[in-house]
Amino acid sequence: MTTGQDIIEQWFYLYSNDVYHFLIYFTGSTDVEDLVQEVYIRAFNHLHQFKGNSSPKTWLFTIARNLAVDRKRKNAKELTKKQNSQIFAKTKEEMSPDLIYEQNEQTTEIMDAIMSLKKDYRDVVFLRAVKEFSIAETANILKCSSSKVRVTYHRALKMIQNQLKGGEIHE
Amino acid sequence: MNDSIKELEKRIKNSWPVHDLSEAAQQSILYNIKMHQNSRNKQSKVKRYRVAYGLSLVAVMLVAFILIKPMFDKHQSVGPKPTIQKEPVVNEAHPPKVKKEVKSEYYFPQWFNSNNNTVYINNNIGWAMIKEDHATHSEAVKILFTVNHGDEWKTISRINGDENSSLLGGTKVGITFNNKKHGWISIRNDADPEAPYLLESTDGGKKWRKQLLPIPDQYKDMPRDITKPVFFSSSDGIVPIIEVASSPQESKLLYMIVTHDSGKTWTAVTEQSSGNLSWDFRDPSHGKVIFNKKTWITPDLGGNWHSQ
Repeated sequence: MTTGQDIIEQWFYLYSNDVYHFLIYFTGSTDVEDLVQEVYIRAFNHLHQFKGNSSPKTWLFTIARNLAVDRKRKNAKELTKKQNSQIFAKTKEEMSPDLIYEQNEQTTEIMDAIMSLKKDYRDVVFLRAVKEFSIAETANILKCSSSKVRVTYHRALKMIQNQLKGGEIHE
Repeated sequence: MNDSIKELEKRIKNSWPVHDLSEAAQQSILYNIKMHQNSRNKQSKVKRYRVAYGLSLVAVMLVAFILIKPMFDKHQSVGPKPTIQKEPVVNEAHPPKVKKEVKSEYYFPQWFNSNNNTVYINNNIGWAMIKEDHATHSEAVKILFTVNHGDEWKTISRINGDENSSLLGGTKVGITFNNKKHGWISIRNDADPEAPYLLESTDGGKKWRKQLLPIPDQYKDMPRDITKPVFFSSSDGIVPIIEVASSPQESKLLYMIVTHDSGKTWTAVTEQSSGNLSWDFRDPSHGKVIFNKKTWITPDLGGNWHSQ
C-alpha cells in the first residue's frame, strides 16, 4: 500500500512547479518557496481528510490559496506597522502582480490586456486558461460558484479580445 | 466554444510568463518536507505506544477481575445448580444446513462523487480516476483503488505515455464498476470518429482495453459526447450519449447505450425503453430512469444519480 510520504513525494514531483507558479501569481512575489513547502506539509498533515472528491492538484491549489491569503494579510499588517513607524520601503513581497509582469521584458500585448483586468477576472483567467482547471475546479479553488466562474471567464475573454482589437474595456 | 476563443486561450497560456522552481530549491523543499514527515511519524509512534500501554493495563485489570469474581460469587450463590446443557441431536434425514458464504452487497446504482472521478460499489470498495497532469499528456490518468472507503488509496494502473499508451487519446470522462472486477471508463475524443467509446477492465482496473459502442446511422455525422455507464442491477446498465455542449445543462440526450448482460454487449437505443429499463430525458436537468418500478433521477444527463 502506498504510504502518505510516497503520495506527497509523488504530488511534489507532479505539481510543485504549478503550485509555485500559482503562489507567485497570487502573492505577487517570487519569494514563495517557503509557502510551497508549507503547502505540502499541510497536505501531508491532512492527507487523511483528502477523500478524492477533487483532484490532488485542485486540493493543493486550495491549500496554496488559503496560505497565500494568510500571507497577504500578514504582509498588509506588517506594512501598516512599517508605515506607522515611518520606515516604509517597498520590498519584493509587497509588489503587486502587475509590477512583476511589467518588469518582465517579454510582457506582451496580451499580458497587458490581462493585467488591465480586475483581479477577480485575472484569477479566473489564470486558473482556467493557464492552469487548465475545469469550471468546477476553479470554483472550488476560488471558493465561489461555478456559474460565477463561467460568467467571469466569458466576460474576461471578451474584454481581452476587445483590448487586442484596440477597443476599450467595458464591464 | 468557438475557434477564436480556443485560439485566445492558447495565446494566453503561451504568453503567461512561466516560473519553475530551481533544481536546488526543489531538493531543499523536498528535504524539509521529508524531515517533517519523519518527525511526525516518530511522534505518532510514541502516541501509539502510549495507547497500547494503556490498553494492556486495562486488559490486565479486566482479567484479574474475571478471575477474582467467582470467588465472591461462590459464597453468595443460593440458587439451584445449573443444568447441564445437552449436545443438540443431529437428525440424519435433515442434516443441519451449511451456512452459505455471504455475497458482497453492491450499490445499484453505484455511488459517484460530484466530480465524476470516483465510484464506490459498496461501503468500502471504490476506484478513483486521477488526472496525471503530465506536461505532454494532458489526457493521462491513473486509477486508484480503495478497500476502506478512501482512507487509503493504491495506484493500480496508469494510462499515460509509458503505460497503456495506445489508450491515451481522448478525455477520460467517468469511471464505473458494477462489481469487484468489471469496470468501464468513458472516453470523449473529438478527433476519433468511433468516439465516444468505453475502456473495459475485467480484473478490477489493472488492465484496460477499448470497447467500441454502436452508433445509430442518423447520429454518425453528429458530434457526440458521453457521460458514464451506470448499472441499476448487476446486469442492466446504460450509458447516455449526449449532444456536445459546453456543459451538461446545455446539452440533451441523443440516444441511449444499453446492456442487459453485465456490459458484455451494448446496444444503441433511440426509443425510450429497453427490456426492464425505461427512461425520459426530455428535461435534461431532470432525466428519469425507471427500473423495477423504482425511479432514479439524474440532474446532469448521467453524471450524478439519486432516487426519487
